[in-house]
Amino acid sequence: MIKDRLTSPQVTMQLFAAMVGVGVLSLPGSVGTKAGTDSWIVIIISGFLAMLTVALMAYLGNRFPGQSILQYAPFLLGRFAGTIVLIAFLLYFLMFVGTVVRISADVTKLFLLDLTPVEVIIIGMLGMSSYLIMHGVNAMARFNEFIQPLTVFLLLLVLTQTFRDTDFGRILPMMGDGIRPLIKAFPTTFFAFLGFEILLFIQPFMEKPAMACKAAWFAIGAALLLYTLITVLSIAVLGAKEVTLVEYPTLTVIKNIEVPGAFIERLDSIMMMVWIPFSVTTIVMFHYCASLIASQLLRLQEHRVIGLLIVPVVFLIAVLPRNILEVDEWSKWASWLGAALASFIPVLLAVVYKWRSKGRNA
Amino acid sequence: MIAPVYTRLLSVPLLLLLPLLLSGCWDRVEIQDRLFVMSVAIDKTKESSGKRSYYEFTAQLTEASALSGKVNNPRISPVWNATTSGPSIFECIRLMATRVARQPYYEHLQSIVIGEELAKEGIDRPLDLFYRDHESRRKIKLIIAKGTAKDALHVKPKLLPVSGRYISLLTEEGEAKTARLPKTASIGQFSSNYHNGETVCYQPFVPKRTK
Repeated sequence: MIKDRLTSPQVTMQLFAAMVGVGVLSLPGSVGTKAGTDSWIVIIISGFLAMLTVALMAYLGNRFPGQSILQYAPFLLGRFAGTIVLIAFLLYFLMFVGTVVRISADVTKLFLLDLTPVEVIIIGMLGMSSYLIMHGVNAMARFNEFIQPLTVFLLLLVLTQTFRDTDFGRILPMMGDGIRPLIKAFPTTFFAFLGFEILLFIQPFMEKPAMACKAAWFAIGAALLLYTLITVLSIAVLGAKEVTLVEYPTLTVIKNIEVPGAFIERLDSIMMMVWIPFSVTTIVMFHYCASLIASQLLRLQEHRVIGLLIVPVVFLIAVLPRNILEVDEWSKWASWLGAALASFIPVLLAVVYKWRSKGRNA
Repeated sequence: MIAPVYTRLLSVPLLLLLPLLLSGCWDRVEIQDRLFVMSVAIDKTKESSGKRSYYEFTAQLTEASALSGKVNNPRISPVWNATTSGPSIFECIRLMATRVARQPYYEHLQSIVIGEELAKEGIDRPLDLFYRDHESRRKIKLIIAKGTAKDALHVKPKLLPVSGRYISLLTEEGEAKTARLPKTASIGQFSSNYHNGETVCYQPFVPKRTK
């Protein structure tokens, strides 16, 4: 069944693409409301926790070469419980795609396409992601390999221009309020790293599955650096209070730039150009995994048809929230579900695996 | 390789979706249709007027084609200071639609002038919209006027046609060449300083009496 092969740099790109998404714009604000100046510490801590979780996932994947969670979850947990786990993952992916599509369409509408109905932007994005997943995991990998370095490079280039306005004294004091704000902000930052659970699904496509852990660590490390950089810069330019006040701190920081005497004076359009690929690649990865699960549950040979059939479902999820507050609520629920699945399921599977193999040896 | 039947069947609705994109850009606004706002003046409405409204909002609208001298009609003036009043700045901006036939475009806003009376009460609330709105930038100059802000916009600079631009350039030059204007003369700077509890100081811009 598996025809497509992925190299480990490609897997790094895929995971990076799945993790870094719509959150880039609002992350400094959502963390800043809880952790204030200590935001970057929380981000680093949760990044390392994500690395731990992903190591467990890679461990599981290596015990079952050529199989993904689709096969070994029913095997380890039994048919019934395994199916429930897969359905939970499917629900999470569908909700996540729906909210991500909605958020990106909302922001695109706000900043670029004032008069375009939000439904049209959603259809455009879903159409693109369906087209991409029709061609399988290899085409997606090549797409990510092309898009991600370009966007990250552009983003870093734009961010260099913010240094003029920074005041790194604003990051101080460190841990001024003790450890409580860090714990409070922890879920928010962990949500920013969600997307690494894709590894459970794409590991069997790897040429060398043993390299999965390293590839995933690189991806999380890159996302960690990017998030930390953005958060530190936002706080250094705006100050911790101001970061929570504006809606999209990253964009505000970039709007602050005025390149003197240059041909392009405003860089916020470049930021939007960077941000749309970020969100599209996230949508693609989650859409693909949702269709993989659905095809497995329905015992289909291929994920293609089901990939198209879940588009209307995702569209409905995306247009259901009436305003941005409801979107936030939805995305919070999706993130909690995702965080629970991504952290508990690998532990559960690993424990069951250990227990079973011990039983076999005895 | 011939594609399976279902792929070919599915490609038909997908192809039918494509012509939807052919109609072109929906959000296009031609540059001659844009009405640029160069400067904004915010005042407190006078108590005696008896109205419920709180802010008096003046936008300096400029007509690009008239500024460039292409319009020879003397009736059409390139600059127009239109005033509305309402309980919030957002409502004032929307009420602009009842004065001006075209939609004002705030992305090239150069300066915000605040009247003396309002400044004494606090300028955080009236400025709130400008911190957050996606059309405004953080580098907009912030000036406190002696007297009313509306009068400050009526200054007639000798060399520049638009007083809002003049005010903005004045603060820039004043900051670079002399020490008489503070460095924190943009709304972004003000907002950061104000909300982080740092010190803020502003030099008032004194409007010249027009004879």
